[in-house]
Amino acid sequence: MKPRDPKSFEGLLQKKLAEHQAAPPPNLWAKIERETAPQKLRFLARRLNSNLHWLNLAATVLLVVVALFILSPPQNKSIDLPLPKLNTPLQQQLKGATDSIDSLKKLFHLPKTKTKPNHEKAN
Amino acid sequence: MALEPDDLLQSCITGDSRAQFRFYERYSPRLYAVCLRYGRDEGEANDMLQEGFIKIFRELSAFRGEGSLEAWMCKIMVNTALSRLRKKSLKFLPYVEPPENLYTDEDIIGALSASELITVLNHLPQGYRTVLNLYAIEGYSHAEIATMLDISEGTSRSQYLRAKIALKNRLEQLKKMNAR
Repeated sequence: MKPRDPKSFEGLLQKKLAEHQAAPPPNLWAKIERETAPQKLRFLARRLNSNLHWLNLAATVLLVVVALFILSPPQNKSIDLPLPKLNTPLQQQLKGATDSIDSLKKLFHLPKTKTKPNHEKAN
Repeated sequence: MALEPDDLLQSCITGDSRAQFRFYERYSPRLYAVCLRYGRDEGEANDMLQEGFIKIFRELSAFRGEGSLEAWMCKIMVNTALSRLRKKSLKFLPYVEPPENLYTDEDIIGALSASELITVLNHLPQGYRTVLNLYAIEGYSHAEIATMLDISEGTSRSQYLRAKIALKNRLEQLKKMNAR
């Protein structure tokens, strides 16, 4: 407020009215409060938003680290797993398989399988 | 417990409704008086105060502490009042004949209380009252008023003179009536 010459018409009006106070109706606050109530929520949302900003930043950093890990060149080591050596010869293992079939058939009272050598089958 | 103005301000910014109520209690009488000067009646002044306070609470975090808080709030209230009046499109009235001055300015203004003076002001046409409020009481220049109301500087100047004459007319009439 810019002061006017106190002796002028404007100055006299200003002096009389500028500092004047009047009590507003008592029910007015309820109306204002109703409108300003979501302000607290807005404040919390603003705070959450600024926290989310940091969260976004952290997520970005994490993504960059993961991407670097995936895209980094592989080392020259073999990834083959060492397999245990077969101690039993293959022929013996196959023979063992026919024996297992015979024992199953015996269990279910079926006739014993007669395995013929290949040259007999041809005849 | 009474909060210091700075603490009260901070609590209001965080949306603490009890602090906002204390803030309202502290500053509303001064701001309501501003609304009464601009509004046509109490109903309009109430609407202005309500709208103005909602704006104040929303913009409070933007207050940088440059100048007084009260002056900042008064400015918001005046702007709120003006935007409401602009919606109703302010009408500027033609020239009024100046009366013969029987009394001095001090006589006619000094004889009335502030609330009586506001009642007389409220009977002036809206355009007159607005320019008179802005120029004489708020202390704005005619160039500033012209920008605020989107009128020419000359219109502001002439409207002010007419408003002043109209107000003096009414005050003189009142003085004469009281003298009888």
